[in-house]
Amino acid sequence: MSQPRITYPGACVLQAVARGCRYGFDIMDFAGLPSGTVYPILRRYEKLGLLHSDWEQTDDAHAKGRPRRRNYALTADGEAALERAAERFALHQRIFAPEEAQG
Amino acid sequence: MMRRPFTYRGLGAGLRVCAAMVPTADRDRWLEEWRAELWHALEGEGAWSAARRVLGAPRDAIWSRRPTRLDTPTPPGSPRRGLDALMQDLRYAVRSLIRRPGFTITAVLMLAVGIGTNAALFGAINNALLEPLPWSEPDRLLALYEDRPHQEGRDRNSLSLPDIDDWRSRSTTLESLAAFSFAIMSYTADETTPVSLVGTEVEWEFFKTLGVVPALGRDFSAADDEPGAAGTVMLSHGLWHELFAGDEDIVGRDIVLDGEPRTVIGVLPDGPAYYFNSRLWVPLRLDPAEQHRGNHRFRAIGRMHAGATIESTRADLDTIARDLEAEHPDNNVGHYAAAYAFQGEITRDISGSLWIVMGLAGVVLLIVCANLANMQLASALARQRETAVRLAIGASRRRVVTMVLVESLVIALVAAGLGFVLARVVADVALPPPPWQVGATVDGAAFGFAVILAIGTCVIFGLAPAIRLAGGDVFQAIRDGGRALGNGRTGVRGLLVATEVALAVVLVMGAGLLLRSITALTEVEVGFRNHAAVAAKVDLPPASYPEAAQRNAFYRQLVDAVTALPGVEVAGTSDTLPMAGSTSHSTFRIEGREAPENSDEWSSLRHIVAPGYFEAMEIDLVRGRTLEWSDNEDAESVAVINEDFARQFFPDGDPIGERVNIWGDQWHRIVGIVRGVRHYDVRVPTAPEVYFPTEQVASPPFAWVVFRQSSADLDLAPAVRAVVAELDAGLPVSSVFPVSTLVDRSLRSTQRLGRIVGAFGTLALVIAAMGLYGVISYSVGQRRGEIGLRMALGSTAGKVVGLIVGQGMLLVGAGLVVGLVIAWLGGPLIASVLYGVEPTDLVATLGSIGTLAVVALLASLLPALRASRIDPAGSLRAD
Repeated sequence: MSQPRITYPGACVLQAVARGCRYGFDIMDFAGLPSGTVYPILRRYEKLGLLHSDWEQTDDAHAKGRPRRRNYALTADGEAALERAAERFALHQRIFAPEEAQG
Repeated sequence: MMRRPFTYRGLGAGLRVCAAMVPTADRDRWLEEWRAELWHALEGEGAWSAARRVLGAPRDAIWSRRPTRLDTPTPPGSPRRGLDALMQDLRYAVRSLIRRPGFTITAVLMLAVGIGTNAALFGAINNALLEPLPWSEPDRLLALYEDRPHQEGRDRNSLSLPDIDDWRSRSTTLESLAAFSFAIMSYTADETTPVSLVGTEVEWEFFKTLGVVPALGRDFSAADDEPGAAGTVMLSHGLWHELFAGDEDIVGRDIVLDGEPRTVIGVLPDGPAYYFNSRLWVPLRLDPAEQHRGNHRFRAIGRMHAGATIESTRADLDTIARDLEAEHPDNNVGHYAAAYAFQGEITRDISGSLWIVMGLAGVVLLIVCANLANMQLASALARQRETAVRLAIGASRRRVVTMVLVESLVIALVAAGLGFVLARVVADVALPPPPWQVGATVDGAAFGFAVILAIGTCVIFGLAPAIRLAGGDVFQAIRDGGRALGNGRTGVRGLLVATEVALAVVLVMGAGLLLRSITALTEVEVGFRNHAAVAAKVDLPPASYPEAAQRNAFYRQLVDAVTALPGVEVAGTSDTLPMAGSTSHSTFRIEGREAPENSDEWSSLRHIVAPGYFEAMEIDLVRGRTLEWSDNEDAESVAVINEDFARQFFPDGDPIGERVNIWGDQWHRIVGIVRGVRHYDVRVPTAPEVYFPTEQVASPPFAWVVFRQSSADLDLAPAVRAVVAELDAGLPVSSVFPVSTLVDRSLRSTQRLGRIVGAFGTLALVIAAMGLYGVISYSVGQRRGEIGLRMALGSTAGKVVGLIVGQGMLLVGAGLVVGLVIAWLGGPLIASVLYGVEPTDLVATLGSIGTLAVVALLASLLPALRASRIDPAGSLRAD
């Protein structure tokens, strides 16, 4: 099967999830992208199998008195896609590299 | 239950609205996720920041509807899938056209010219022939004539006023009826030189019959049309603006026409030319009872009662004509009634030419389509590999065909828009109203026509390349790296070029035939040799010159004074001028012979001339003598006839010395025979004519003074005006012009048609040459290897040129043969506008073959020369 094309914002979203951002608004903050860009990417990559998502446990949410959030994680395909994207976007490497060193 | 803050509820409602756009299956999940994030943001960041984050929700909702590659495909045949595909094709087409600006611009411009020309002509035809006249119930209007079946070509004769009056009083089918007659009138503003205007003398019911209500003032009344009534005049909208600057107070003002003051009673609304571009209308003021039934000088319009048909009106008028025949056997024998639909009549002269030009414009469009198909095919072949890949990965052939068609449609629609703009220019520049009488209106209907043409042409020029492309052998194409369909043979593209050549032959041939007609027309012997003779019209007001003797004295003084002018060799007068639009017909008797039962059988054109006229016009004397000043009231009455008169009425004997009679008991002895003059039009052969000297008959109150100048460069107009002013200061002299302008005017419609068809022919030649050049260039590109091999094996550059040019000429030859067959078969269609040449004329045929051959040779020579410079080693290596 052909590889899905990863756009620059797409790579940022994957990078954010890889760095541990699990919720939509967190990913927005990390990637510095608006919600209108981040959410469509999340939906698309989930359908393409680069991300998977599930609901946080209901009890957890209820305990904190708020609705449950949807959290996202990279799949194996997603990790591979992120690697390819990192090679493709040299600038991307430079932006995220220091954090990787710190992490 | 958790307490939900106000901001959460407000923003949550916004989210619910957005959720409506999300597919039902995903909606609940979508809404829950957004709500959770919203809650989280409200808690951590505050309302403002949360609200900003939610701004992305509508975009997410919209995107959630878009398919991703892993979506379940929309079932085939669903409208959404079709629409998505079409939008995708549209985007693809636009991008692909932008990437090829050269191709796109050429294609759009070429098609815009084709569509624009057709839309302009459609505008003209729609306006003149298809749309009803903008008057009240125009389909009830009729043009009325007298039909004389026993006289060939005389089916639209003028009528006499007493006959018209009888038709009016006895007809049961006509609601109203009005006689009219054209007149050139002189308008004299205060202390200025008189100007001549085309006018119409009408019976008072003329406008009522037409169904036209004046925009200003009032219509004519019965009192205005009484003999001896005070002079009145109705102005056209155009003249009102031209001469009186649209003065609102013009009604009631007096203006001087032909020396007589007339009160302006009204101004007509702006609109089509009311019959032959008349500028003003005056009442006839004649009593039918006092008019002679043999004086046929009027035309008539009639308005049928609602419910009457043309057939019933014809039958009704014919019954009246039969009664009149019995009542007036001396004048009305064999006179039938003729009634035609008015709109058809006023466009009769132009409809034939318009349809011919429209047909030829259609041919131009077909050539453009063939060429565009060719260009599309070439560009499709260049993209063959791309198409092959599309087919290989599962695109249907139908989809590939649609893609090419959509690209053609984009070109066609852009061209239609541009063509519509062009049509407005063409209509303004190439089809000015006067000769067509009704101008072209490029309006909504024409735009609709342009769009229909665009869609039609797009199918014509897009389908063949699309099918060809989708029908290619996919795997062969991939293996050959895109060269599968190009094997040096020109195939479909050659066929298209041959079609272009065939159609171009038709146009070039048409242009050639018209050129030959124009040449033939300019070579026609019109009967007078001095086309540089100058004419000036003088009108004698009946009030100042009531007696014939007074008028004769004036004419004699005028001729003497004009002859005395330096630079004038000889001068005379005549009451008619060739091709000036006014002729007089009279029946006559011949002394010693029994008049025919039907007096019309002995009828002739009649002119009243002063000596010098024949010499000034250089009308050749065949036998006997012309007229002299000594032919006055004291001498024997004489007449000069033309050859046609002699041939027709004296086939066996010598007419000189015989006597003819037109008026009362006065017999005129024939003293000379002159050459016949073409009086109606350059195309219409001469007819019997008889000339009488002014001083022996009742001379008319107007005359053309005609003189021969020693040099055509002299401008004697001011001198002639001065001479007239010296004789009578109040007399108007209408414009002074060389007689050649009348001849030119008679040729104008053919020349105009020739220019239009010539332009079409040139366009066709250029497009066909472009097509041929493209195909041969492409073929040379495909055959590089073969040509290289030939040259490596010893073929010379000359032989290569011969090979390539030969290939081009083969296509041209095939096109020529087909084109000539079409031109010959279609010949009868344009025969009506030709003069002196047959549609199969050899010179025009050979000329168009030669022109096309030369153009085709040049078009194929360029790629051939390029082929001859191919480096054999290089081309073989590359292959």
